[in-house]
Amino acid sequence: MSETITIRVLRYDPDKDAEPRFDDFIVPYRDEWVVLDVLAYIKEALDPSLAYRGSCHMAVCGSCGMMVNRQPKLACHCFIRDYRGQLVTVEPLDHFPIERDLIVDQDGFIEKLSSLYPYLVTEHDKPLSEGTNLQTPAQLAAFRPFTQCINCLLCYAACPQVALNEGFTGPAALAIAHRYNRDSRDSGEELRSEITDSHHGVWDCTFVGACSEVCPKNVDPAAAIQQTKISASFRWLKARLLPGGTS
Amino acid sequence: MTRRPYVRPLHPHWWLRDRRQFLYILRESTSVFVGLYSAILMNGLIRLSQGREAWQSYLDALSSPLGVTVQLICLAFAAFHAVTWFGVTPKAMPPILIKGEPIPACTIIRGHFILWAILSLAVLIVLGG
Ligand code: SF4
Repeated sequence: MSETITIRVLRYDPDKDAEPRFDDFIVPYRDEWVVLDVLAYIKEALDPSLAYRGSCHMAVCGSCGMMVNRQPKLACHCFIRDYRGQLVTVEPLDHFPIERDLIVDQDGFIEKLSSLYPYLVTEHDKPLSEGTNLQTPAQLAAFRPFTQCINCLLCYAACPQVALNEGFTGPAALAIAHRYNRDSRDSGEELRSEITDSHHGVWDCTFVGACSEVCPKNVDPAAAIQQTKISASFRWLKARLLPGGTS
Repeated sequence: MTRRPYVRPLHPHWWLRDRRQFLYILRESTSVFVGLYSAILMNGLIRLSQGREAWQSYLDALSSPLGVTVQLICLAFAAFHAVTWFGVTPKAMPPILIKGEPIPACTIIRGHFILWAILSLAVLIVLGG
């Protein structure tokens, strides 16, 4: 018999299961397969009821985030050859409610992200006749790495503070807020600061740094959050020391 | 089809199950030892204010085997604390551009180590001389 690999998959059917359980699947081993291919094989050949998310197969869509042997990974970026001879355990992303099998409920994240004005906020609409907004390479470099986020949520699964403080805005949302705050075309920092500077904003972060280590797009949310802490501190001081401050 | 999202409880030993989280808790726990050493120094000031005898007994306690062991443990944790924090400093500051290029993280970290060495040397020279 040709080589096989055993995949242990967390299963949860809200219609039937009181709580999640694990199913083991023995699948053919292929050097070029990633975990996402294995899940597709299981769904096609072994158990069509398996539920998971995935789309682009190239670390762009951010849909296939899951725990592989307890580490947050993109299933499309995770070759089974790296787990040869081991049992591979696949679970939905940590720190999110499980909707079904490997699919998590992302509503909490979407709400947090939406509250941060995750788009360019401009003071006044510029007429088309004024042409495009120009930026220097330095102005672009100030926020470019933070534009790479694909909302895969691996950083939320890696962060213990997300698990310990339900209200924590979390790494990706704060990194995206920072991305717009650093953009020379944007003037929404004051609006965003209501959330970013609050307890559940950057101050729930204890600088674990795990978010940046697991991020598949090198976004470095930990850096975004620490830099926001500095700006938040200045805003706090300014509000108290300068005449006309708020409190 | 019903929606009944299941919330998995956090594992009671979550920080022991993962190397990264374990190192994080270890880094955080160093603050206990840094605090302990600060308390020892504060106690030194109090003893100093109580006169020559009290100060001498404080010095004796520091150089006893127990005193030396406690200080060595504090030193080890303080060093671990410093090294881990130096490692993350590049993230804690906005990118500094030189000729349009950000200073690489490793240069910033190295800078901290060099400054640490210089300051330690200065303290040793001042105290020793
Ligand atoms: S910051 Fe990185 S890990 Fe977090 S959601 Fe964005 S791409 Fe994924």
